[in-house]
Amino acid sequence: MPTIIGFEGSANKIGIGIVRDGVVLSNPRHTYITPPGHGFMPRETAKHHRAHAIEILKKCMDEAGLKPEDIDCVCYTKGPGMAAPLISTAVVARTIAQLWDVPIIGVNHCIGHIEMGRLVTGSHNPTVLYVSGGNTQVIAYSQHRYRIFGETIDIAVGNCLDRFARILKLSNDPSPGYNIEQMAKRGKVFIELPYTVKGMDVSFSGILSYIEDAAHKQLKAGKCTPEDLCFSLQETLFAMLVEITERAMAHCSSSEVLIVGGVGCNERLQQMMRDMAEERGAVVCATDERYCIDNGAMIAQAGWEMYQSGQRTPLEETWCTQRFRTDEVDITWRE
Amino acid sequence: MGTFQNNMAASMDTGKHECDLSIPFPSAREAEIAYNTLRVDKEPRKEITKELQLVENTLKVRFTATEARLLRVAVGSFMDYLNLTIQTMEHFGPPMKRVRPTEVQEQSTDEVAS
Repeated sequence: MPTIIGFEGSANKIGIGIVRDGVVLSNPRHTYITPPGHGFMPRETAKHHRAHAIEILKKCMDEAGLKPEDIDCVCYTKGPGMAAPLISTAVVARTIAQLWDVPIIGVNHCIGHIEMGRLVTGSHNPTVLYVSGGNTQVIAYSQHRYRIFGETIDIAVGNCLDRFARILKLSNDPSPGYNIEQMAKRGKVFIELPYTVKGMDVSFSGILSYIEDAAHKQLKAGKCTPEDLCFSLQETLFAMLVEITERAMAHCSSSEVLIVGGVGCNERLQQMMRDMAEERGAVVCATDERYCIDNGAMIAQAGWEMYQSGQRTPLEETWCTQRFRTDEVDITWRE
Repeated sequence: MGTFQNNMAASMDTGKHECDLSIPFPSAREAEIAYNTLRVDKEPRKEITKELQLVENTLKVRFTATEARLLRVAVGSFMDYLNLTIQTMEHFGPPMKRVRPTEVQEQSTDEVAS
């Protein structure tokens, strides 16, 4: 019964989690929050992660009630993500692996989300919608790979939402996406926005430019409220995501949808996906913010699967990479 | 943890700026851990080079850069990671050594004896 510790710090959240045989023993996390109107930059984010790593690691071990000798393997996010935050987290992971004399495994961030989503929801072979500030992909498993059937061709959907929050000067606490979601609930008027689905792929940069322009002009003219814009943006973006997911389900004859990634927290997205799935006779699996949002336990869980199937990362190869495609990983733990 | 020695000099011959660091650790094993942790990541820019060398309980680092500004950024960044490594060792050390039956078979034959 291996006990795995996972280190995640690819964006503005640093988290360390421990998983043992499908049970999350601890999963503390800290988020770097910038002032309204500002995004997080790599250098400052890395500084935040370095400042909190030791404290979170102690908390993680204490909450799990474990000692170093109880840990069988150290896992960390190899990528994708921001370089400096990734390296800051990996430095701690490499050091710990050597101090405690255990193997180390580099985990793909996207696969961390998928494996935690599968564990928590119990979904077996779902079509996966992975949506966050850094990624937007529709994924299905086939022949030892998580295949990317569709994806954004420019910015991630979460990036689009976060940047719009900056335009409106919304708070980044607890997250800009959450604050857009709350505003959208009070929206009443739908403003038509570009709908840019391209077969299985999507594009969000045009929508962001369009609504930025609308925000400046129409808000000044009093023709709509910020709540209306948040509502309209969500309806448009999420309808696009539902469409490409449904197209992938149709191609793969899938009866399960799994939504993972930070934007997967959004209840409106979950509702729209549920509506589509019901009409298809399928089910939607989604996790709450404990696991939707980047966390250490998801890296530990994917790492647990990799460890059990015999994968290890030699210490000399424990570098980080900003680009690490989901389909690059050999999924040795599935049939 | 001890202080370390800085030697910075502009080399007119090569048109490069250099910085040498010499960082002593309490033990050879701790120096080795820091070496293994810090040597993995490549410098993001070609104009900067970084070479790590392990000499008993001392970690030696040589930086070169085409501009003083780039050199300062690279050394500053390295110091941040070094500090994090040292803090990690202070809080979660000392180094353990364990033998697990299943792991012995999986150990690489290329693994350097420590």
